[in-house]
Amino acid sequence: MQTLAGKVKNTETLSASVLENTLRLRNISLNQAAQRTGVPVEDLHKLCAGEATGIRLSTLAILCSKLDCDPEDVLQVEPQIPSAIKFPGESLRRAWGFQSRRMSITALFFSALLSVVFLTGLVSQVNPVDFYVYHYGAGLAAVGENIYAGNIHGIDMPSEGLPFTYTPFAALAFLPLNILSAKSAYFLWSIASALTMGVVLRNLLPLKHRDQPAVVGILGFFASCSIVMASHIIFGQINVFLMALVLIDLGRKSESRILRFIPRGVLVGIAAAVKLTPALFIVYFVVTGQKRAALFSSIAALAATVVAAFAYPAMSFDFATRVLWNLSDRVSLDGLFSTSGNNSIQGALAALGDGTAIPALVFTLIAAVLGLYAAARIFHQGGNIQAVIVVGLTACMVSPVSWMHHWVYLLPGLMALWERGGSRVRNFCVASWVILVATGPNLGDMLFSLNTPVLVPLAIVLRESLLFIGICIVVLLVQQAHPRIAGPVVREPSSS
Amino acid sequence: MAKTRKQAEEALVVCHLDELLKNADMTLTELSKRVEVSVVNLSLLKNGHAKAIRFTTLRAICHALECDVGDLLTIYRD
Repeated sequence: MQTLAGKVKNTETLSASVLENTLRLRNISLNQAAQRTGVPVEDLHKLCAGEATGIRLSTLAILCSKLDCDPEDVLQVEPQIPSAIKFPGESLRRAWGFQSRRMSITALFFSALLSVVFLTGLVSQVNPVDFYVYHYGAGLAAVGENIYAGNIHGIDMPSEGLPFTYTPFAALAFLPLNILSAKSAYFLWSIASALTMGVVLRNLLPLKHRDQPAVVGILGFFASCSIVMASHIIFGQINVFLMALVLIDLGRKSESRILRFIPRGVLVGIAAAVKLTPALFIVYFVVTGQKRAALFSSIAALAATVVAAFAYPAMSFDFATRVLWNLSDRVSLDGLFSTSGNNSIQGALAALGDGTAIPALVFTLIAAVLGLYAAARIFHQGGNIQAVIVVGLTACMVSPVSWMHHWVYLLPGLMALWERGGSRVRNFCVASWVILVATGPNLGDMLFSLNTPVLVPLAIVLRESLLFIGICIVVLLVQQAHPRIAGPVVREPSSS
Repeated sequence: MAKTRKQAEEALVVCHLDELLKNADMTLTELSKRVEVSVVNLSLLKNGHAKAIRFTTLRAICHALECDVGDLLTIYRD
């Protein structure tokens, strides 16, 4: 009655499982969907089974509004092998156009391997000190030492040691790393972090490029070469994994077998229990009225903390009563705070000189409010992932210390802008990526040291480039989120 | 999100063929040749007078304009 049901099987042209997936995600059976939308169950079945040849736009509108989804959740066109980029050689063109899901993941893995070998072997002789803190800290905690009592010492670490500034739960979560020696664990950790960023970016690619090994592999390699990921890998940091937890939790479109049992918000809570910054997402839940997610994330964070308290009671007590309130004292930042590495608002203003602390706090507060407002606005217009990225970027802006490896949300931000952006936005994305690969902040420092007045503005922009790019991404994402009503409107009677 | 989605009855399907054609720098006639659908039918779709869409058409348009369904059709809730 409502769909143009026909005899031709259309499974080749439209991926039929999309609607099925959407229903499963919302936990609705075909019959319930039929009841709710008024669309006959036979028609829904035909749509799901790929037996329909077309759809009435009124049916599409009803399905979308009653099931709370978008047209692409009902219909999806299989990607065509793209012919956009033309190479002279036929074999090259075929290699570029080649599509395979498995091969694109393999390409990501090799690009991760390549970039880690490249970064740790050739570019840097730096010790991955942050990673050693996780590794040795977790090990010491397991044998019953209070890791907050003093600095962590270990092989290959600076002789004065480094403080463990994470939660007791983090010490517990890092414990499996001690199965391997520090060096080999670090190697795997680095590959995993490069791979994780690659997978995140791959999932933000337009559908038609997502399974192209050539595109995905190159993207993964350049992501690892950006200063954000490079410093992340060189120090052996954790931020990419926290971001992945948040994105898996909030960005999931279809429910996989495991994720189905994890309510929205739990993974965010766990991330917040490891490090404080993801806690901003709990505020975001509250602001956008996602009560269940707010509840579950708080419970998860609390549960993780309680588990850690049972495992390490004395240490947890010490952390909660003393360390948590003096975290900023533990990281000896004298002089480091205003270096080019710290691209937070407070760090940027501190570089201007003394007496900027109070304006910096004011700006930080304003940024927090504006960032959350922007995220809420984007969220209400249906930009789920985009809103998450905005919150992640806001956390970097308002946190007192945001080293380059904290800005992991920049790369997904640029990817998210690319898909819907016009040529101007895309130029911005390319330029930003170039700055990130060219180690913007260090370049800025270099220009400053030249002492040429003409270059000062450029130097300032480059030095705080991560902050500026972050702000631009937020603004552009807000612009893109406007519901697009420019096109002609199809008016149909709502029920038939 | 609840705010925008309460008035379910008022949802409309918006077709962005016009913008997509402009972005791809393509005329309706050109598209018509590529997807093998008459100009008349395509312009019905473009001007929002179409009542239904065939999947073959949808697929051909998406491939010709290198876009996803979500780029061509969106839901406007107000």
